[in-house]
Amino acid sequence: MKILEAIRSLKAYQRLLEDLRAGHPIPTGLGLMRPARLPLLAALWEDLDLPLLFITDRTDRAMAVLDELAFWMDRSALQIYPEPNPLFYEQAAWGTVTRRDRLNSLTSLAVYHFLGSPRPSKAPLVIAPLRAVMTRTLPRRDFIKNSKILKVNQKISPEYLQRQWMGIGYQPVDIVVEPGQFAQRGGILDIWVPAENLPVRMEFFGDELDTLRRFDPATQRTVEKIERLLITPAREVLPAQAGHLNLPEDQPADEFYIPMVYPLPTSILDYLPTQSLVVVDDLLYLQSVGNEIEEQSVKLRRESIQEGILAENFPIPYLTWGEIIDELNSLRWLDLGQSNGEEPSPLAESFQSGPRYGGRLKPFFEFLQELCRKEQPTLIVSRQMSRLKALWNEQGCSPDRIQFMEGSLSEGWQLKISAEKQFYLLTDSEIFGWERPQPRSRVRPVAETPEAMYADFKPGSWVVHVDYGIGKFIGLVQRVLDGVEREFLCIEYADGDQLFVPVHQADRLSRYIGPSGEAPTPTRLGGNEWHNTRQRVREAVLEVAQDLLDLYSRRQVAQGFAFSPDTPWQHDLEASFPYVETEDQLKAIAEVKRDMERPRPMDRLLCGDVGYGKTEVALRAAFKAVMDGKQVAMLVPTTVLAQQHYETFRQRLAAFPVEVEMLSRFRSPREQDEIILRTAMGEVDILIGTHRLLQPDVTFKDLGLLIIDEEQRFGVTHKEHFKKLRTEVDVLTLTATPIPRTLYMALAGVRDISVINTPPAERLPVITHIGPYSPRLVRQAIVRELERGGQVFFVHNRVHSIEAMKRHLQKLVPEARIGIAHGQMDEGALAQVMHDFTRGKIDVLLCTSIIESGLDIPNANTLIVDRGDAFGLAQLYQLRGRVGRGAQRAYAYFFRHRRKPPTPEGQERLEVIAENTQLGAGYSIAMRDLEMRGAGELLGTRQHGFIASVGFHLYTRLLATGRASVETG
Amino acid sequence: MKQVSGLEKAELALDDLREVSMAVAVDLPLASGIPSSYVPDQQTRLNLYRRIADVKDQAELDALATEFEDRFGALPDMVRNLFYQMKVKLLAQEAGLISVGVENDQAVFRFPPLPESVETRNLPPIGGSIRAGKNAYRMPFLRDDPHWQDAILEAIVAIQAAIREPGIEKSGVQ
Repeated sequence: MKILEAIRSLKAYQRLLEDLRAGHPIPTGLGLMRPARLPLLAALWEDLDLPLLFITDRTDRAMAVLDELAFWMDRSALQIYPEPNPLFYEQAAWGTVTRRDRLNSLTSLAVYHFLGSPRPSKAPLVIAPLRAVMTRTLPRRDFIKNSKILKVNQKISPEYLQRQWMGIGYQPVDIVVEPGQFAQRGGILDIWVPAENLPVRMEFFGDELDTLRRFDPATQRTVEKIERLLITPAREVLPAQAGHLNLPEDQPADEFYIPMVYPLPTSILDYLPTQSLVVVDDLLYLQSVGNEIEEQSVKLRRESIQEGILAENFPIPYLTWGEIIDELNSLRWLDLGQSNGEEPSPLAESFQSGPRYGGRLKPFFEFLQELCRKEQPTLIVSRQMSRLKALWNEQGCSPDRIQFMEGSLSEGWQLKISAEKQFYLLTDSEIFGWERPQPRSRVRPVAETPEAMYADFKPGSWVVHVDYGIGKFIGLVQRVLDGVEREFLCIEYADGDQLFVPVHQADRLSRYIGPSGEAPTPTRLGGNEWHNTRQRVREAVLEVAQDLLDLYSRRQVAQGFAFSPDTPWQHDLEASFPYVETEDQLKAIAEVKRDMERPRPMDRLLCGDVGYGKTEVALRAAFKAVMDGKQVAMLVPTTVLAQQHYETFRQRLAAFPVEVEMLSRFRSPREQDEIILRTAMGEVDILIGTHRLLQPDVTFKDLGLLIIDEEQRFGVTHKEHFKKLRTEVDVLTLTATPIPRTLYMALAGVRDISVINTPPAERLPVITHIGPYSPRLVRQAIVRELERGGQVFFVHNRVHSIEAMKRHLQKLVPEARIGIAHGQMDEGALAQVMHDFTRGKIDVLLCTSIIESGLDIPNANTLIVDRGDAFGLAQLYQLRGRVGRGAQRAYAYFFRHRRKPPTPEGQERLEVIAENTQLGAGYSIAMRDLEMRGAGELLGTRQHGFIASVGFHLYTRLLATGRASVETG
Repeated sequence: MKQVSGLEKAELALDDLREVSMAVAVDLPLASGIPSSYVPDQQTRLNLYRRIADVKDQAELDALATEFEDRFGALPDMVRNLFYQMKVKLLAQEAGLISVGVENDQAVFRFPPLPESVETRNLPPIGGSIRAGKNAYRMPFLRDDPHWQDAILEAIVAIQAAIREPGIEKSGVQ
């Protein structure tokens, strides 16, 4: 029995459907339990075949609904109508994704109002959080008036079109990579209509539109030809209508000005056609959220006017709750929550919560047996579907009576179909007790051009020419030689000497990236300087390659322990992982296990950013070792990290008889002695700790696996220690430092490396604010975070004034507990502060950029950076990566000096980060720089000088060559 | 010690690891480049130049030409010449040449400089109008000949074939 059929078979549902179809009055609140609302909504959408708008309280719920509804119905009919990132009255960027999704939703409804336009084959279901609905938008009349259809062979001037597009909010660019952009080259026009998945290229012959074809923004190549294209506005405020605002030239009218340009308050509700239905998640709840939003906005308005950043007569940029209710009442709407406050409806009474098993599979399967015998229709939706199904098939009761589906739902229910018959929907929540379903990743509509990876240098950049050395790139220059015109890349070397590189030799050049980020010294042209430098580096890399090979051959002949294949318990442990492993993660796990099962000692490096799931790989390896009666040591660089790993291991291994212990300064001497004794006797299976583990008094009865976290943060003597261990026991090294592909390849074969590149399921985007330093905003941000029980990072990157900053903050927010952390503190004090912060004893961590990598504190969800314009882009990304790791919405504030204007580059970096997209050239270049710098760490500080003298690109190439010659020689 | 453990062998051949070989200079009397009327943005033009120069084989080069037509419209002569220049560069690279150029009515196909102690490379004869020198091949060059571009390509192909012939393969430096 199909699940929606079960709902359709209910009398109460049929009655509701009839009333809706006939336009009869409908009950004010159905009082449905939450997990039953979405399948009901899906059934209504299918049966009514009308545009539906589903309003939720907050964005988080809207996103979860989008994910879950995709399980119940056709994903392509679903639209999300997001709320803008800035608060009402806050003038900040809306973001590409927000704009696109909102315009998409508006378009999907507006097409119902076009005369003669064909209806979409599927009615849309738009999901919107309340604040998105409240946000004022472009009036429908203006939206429709400014939408135009273009057809092949149509006579129209390309110049006229471009003017028109600018007027409706499209931006002229050189290459179209985002929705809302257009580009012109000769007789070719490219445009990306926000409502379209792909941009479209038009070729003109004079004033005749010759061809229309969709193209892939990533390759810029044609995908398919089309006959017509509907061009809709690219903004919710049209520049052509905003002329009277008299804004300065460089400041185009953005959505902040909607209420000034369009006096009549309009919302998405005006876009709904007469034949449509609004469904409200829970009216009472919505009302309280609506009131909260209004209160907050009134307050922000007052403050902003006092501060002089908002005009006193600025119109209200949203519809009030009262206005929303009025609008709703002029439409047809249905509340799924309990707004009537009376008896639950008959429909609601049919649903009940299902039984819960919290991961105890035996009673769960017994219950399934019973359902199977009684022939109750049952559907199991789980992320562990294949495993459950396999187990069920062993149980005997006609296996196909229970239906299994892969999926992730928040909760299930049981539905009473008749006196004897119940329909059971069982999910991971009932079976395993997992609360949060896995969010799905969303495709971002921003592409990289095919040239993106070549966009890393521009005039003024330091570059390396393989044959001539380091110089500054001046630009492209035209020269006529022998009466023939040609273009060259001009590079300036020491003493202002210039080198002209023919364009077909541009591949001899690469951007200079040094280990420190400092400017290099340009090479002198002519003479042997560059040749000698290269020679020195060549010798140095030979040494590196030789070292690696020596270790490698020692390991080849060394005999270690060959671990047994996976035990059934191993499968149990792996199945209890509450997420779906990424592909990289699975590959890494398989590689580690294969290494362990070989007699040769493992020496594997596992690279992956914080939060990408390295710990889970380590955990499974550790468990495997313990299953063979071996002990595991896990070495971490800091006490805080030791604590974090210790807690994770304890939690994940709770169901198994595995002894996990920790040695660190947070254990009393007596506790330490006891742990050391038990370790020596073999009673401790997994011992996690800092370098304390390496002291001579710590001995293992039978060590089988050593896990080293962030090896580069240990000292030289420790590293020598590791080197010896590598030929004796299996060693797994973890690092959060991204490793460049080129280096990875130069080392492949002599060093076993697994890389986890896939980020886990998407986190909520971090709301990013940039602007001059404002004590008011700082206070507001800290107070908001503390009010919801969270913590704050405050980055102030100058040690000498950090105490003064603490006094300033304490005065601003007297109620906050503030702690200081910087690299010049002694290790003990630093560890204590970090420990207090993780434990929640400190509210605000005032620190230098030492937090930029590795730290994972899910409860810290606001980041404030003082003088953000002084940081490099890669650093800014890393800093922001500290927040937004938990389920909470995170905020990042990057302030610049209050009065001093930032450098153009500094401002540009801040703008890139505020754009909040993870794609685009800026991002990938920043990431590449980061990787290169990380590679320096990986190779050891001794190599830094050599890397600096030729840059990373050339260094890795030389290393690869060096390695090849050591191997053959 | 040629073992490749753990990782896919194929990946090792990746171009990023190409040896730091010598640059091939192509110096022919052709106006070449990307005119600003074709691609107006200077940064895009620079990126495109770097992309073209980085092309590794003929197939990639052809694909790029098709892409240019799709994105920017029919190829102007200068761009066509740029692609031709790249084609010469790729062929020359394969043949082990260090430069292809024109000197006094002669097209010269030169190999990397010889060590001081070595007099000649002992290049095998090719025939036709191509003459073997100590370290280079030469052939007559007429600017007005409408077919000189093809002739150059054919010559490089012939050179490559000649020096690759079994037995002569090692003839390089003696």
